[in-house]
Amino acid sequence: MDSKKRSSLGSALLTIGPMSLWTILFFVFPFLYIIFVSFCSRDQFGNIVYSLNLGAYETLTHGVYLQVIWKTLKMAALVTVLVTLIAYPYAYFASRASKKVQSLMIIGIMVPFWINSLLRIYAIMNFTSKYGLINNLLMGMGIIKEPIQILYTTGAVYFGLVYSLVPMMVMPLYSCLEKIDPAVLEAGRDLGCSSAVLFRKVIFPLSIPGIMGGLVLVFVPAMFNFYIADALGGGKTIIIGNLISSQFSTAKNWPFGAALSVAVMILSTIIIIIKNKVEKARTY
Amino acid sequence: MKKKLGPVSIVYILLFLFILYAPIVLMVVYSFNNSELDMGWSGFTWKWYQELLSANDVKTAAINTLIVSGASTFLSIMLGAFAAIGFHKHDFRGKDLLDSFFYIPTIVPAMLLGVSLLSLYDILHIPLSKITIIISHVTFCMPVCFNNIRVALKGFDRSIEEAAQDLGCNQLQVIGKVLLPNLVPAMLSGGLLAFTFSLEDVLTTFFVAGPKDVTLSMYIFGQMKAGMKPTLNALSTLLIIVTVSLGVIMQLLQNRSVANSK
Repeated sequence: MDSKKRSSLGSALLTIGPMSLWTILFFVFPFLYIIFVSFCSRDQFGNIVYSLNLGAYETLTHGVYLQVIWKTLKMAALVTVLVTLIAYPYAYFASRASKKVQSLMIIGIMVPFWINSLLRIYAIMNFTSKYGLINNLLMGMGIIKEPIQILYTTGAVYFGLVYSLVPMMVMPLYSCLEKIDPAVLEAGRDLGCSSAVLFRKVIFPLSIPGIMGGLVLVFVPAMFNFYIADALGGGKTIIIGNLISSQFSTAKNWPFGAALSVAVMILSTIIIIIKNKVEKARTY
Repeated sequence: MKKKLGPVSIVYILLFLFILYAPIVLMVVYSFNNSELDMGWSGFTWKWYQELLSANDVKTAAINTLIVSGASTFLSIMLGAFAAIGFHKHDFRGKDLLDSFFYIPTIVPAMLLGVSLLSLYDILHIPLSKITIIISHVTFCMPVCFNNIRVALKGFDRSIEEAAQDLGCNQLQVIGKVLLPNLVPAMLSGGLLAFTFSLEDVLTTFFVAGPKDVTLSMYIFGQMKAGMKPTLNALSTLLIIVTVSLGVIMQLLQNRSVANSK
C-alpha cells in the first residue's frame, strides 16, 4: 500500500510537475522579480542599482506621467463604453435569431478572431488613409470635397481600438443573453411590461455578467496595446503601453517601467476582482 | 419562442459585418492592385506577390516564425497533455487552486509577461534569441493546450480505462493505448489554438526577441510603422489565408472532440 502511494505520488509529480515548474520558473519568478526591480533605481548607464527605494514610484506621480495614466484610463473607459454600445445590439439580435442565422452571425464574429490583430490594424491603416475607403465614400456621397486626415489622429486610434476589440465583447454578451429563458420574458409581457421596461428590468440586469466578462477583455488590452496607438496615431498618442515599452527599450529606465507595470497590474487586478464580485452577486 | 428579426435589426447586423470585413477585404483586393499608391484601382497584378516571395528578409522571417511557433506549440502540447493526464489520474488537495493557477499566464496582459521575462533573461544573463521567444510563447500557450485536453478528458468514460486494466494493461499502457489515441483531436485543436496565439503575438515578442530573430509579426510591425506598402498587403493576404484555414480546421477538430466525448 505504501509503495503504491509512493508510486502514485511519483506519477503525479512526473505528469503535473513539468508544467508547474515551468509556470513557476517563467511566470511567477519573473513577476516577483519585476516587483523587486520597481523598488530599485538605475545608474547613468541604465543599469539597475539594487538599493531599495521608492524613487520609481515618486517619478510615477510627476504631472506628465500622471497625465498619461489618466488619459489612458479615460481612453480605455470610453473605448469600453463604445464597444459595449456597438456590441450589445449585435449580441442581442444573435441571441434572438433563428438557429441558422445565429450560427452565421457567430461565424461572422469568429473569423476576425482568427486573423492576426496586427493585420487588422494594418487593414485599418488602408481603410482610413487619404485615399482609403472612408474618404472615397464620404467624397462619393458629397459630404466632403477634399480627403480629410483620419489616419494618424486620435480618432483613428479610437476607431482601431473599438474595431479590434468589438468581437471580445460580443462573445461573452451573446453567451449570457442566449441563456435567458424565453419563459421569463413571456411572464414579463403577460404582466404588462412594455418592451422598453422588459429590457430595462429583465434583459439588461441579466446580461450584466456578460458585460463584465467583456470588460476585462476590452478595458485591459485597451490600456496596453501600444502598436495600435503607434500605427494609427502616428506616435502622437501616448498610452501607458507606449510609456512602459519605451522605458524597457529606448529610455532604458527599467525601475520606472517596472513601477508602471506594477501600477497597471494592480489596476487590472482590481477590475478582475470587481468582475468576479459582480458575477458572484448575480448568480442565482 | 425565437422571433424573426425586424428590418432595423437586419440593417444593423449587415452594417456591423460590413464595417468588420470591409477593411480586410479592401486590403486583400489592394494586394492585387497595379498602382503602388492607394489611389484607387488600376488593374490586376501578381507582381507584389512575386516581389514578396523574392524578398530575403520575408523568407527569413517566415522561417523564424515556423521555428518559433512550431517549437512553442510542440512544447505546449507536451507539457499541457502531461499535466492534464496527471489531473485526470490523481486527486489531491489544492487541485482546484493549481488549476486556476495554471490559467493566470493567459489572463495577465501579454505586455507585462514580456517585460518581466525580459528582466528575467537579463538577470540570468541569457542573450535574447529564438529560444527566449519560444520560452515566452510556451508560457502563455501551454494553458490553452492544458485546458483543451482537460476538457476532453472530463468527458472521457472511465469504465473504458478500467476495462483496459482488467484486460491486463498497466498504467502506462492505459495512457499509451487508451487515453492518448482518444486525445489526439483535443491535442491537435489545442495545438492549433496555441500556434495561432504564438503566430500573432507582438506584445510579448517585442521585448524578448533578439535583433536577428525577426518573426513575421515583428516584421509586419516594423514595416507598418513606415506606412503602407503593396507588398505588405500581399503578405497580409497570405497570412490571412493561412490563419483562417487553421481556424476552420480547429473548429472542425473541436466539434469532433466534443462528439467523441459524448
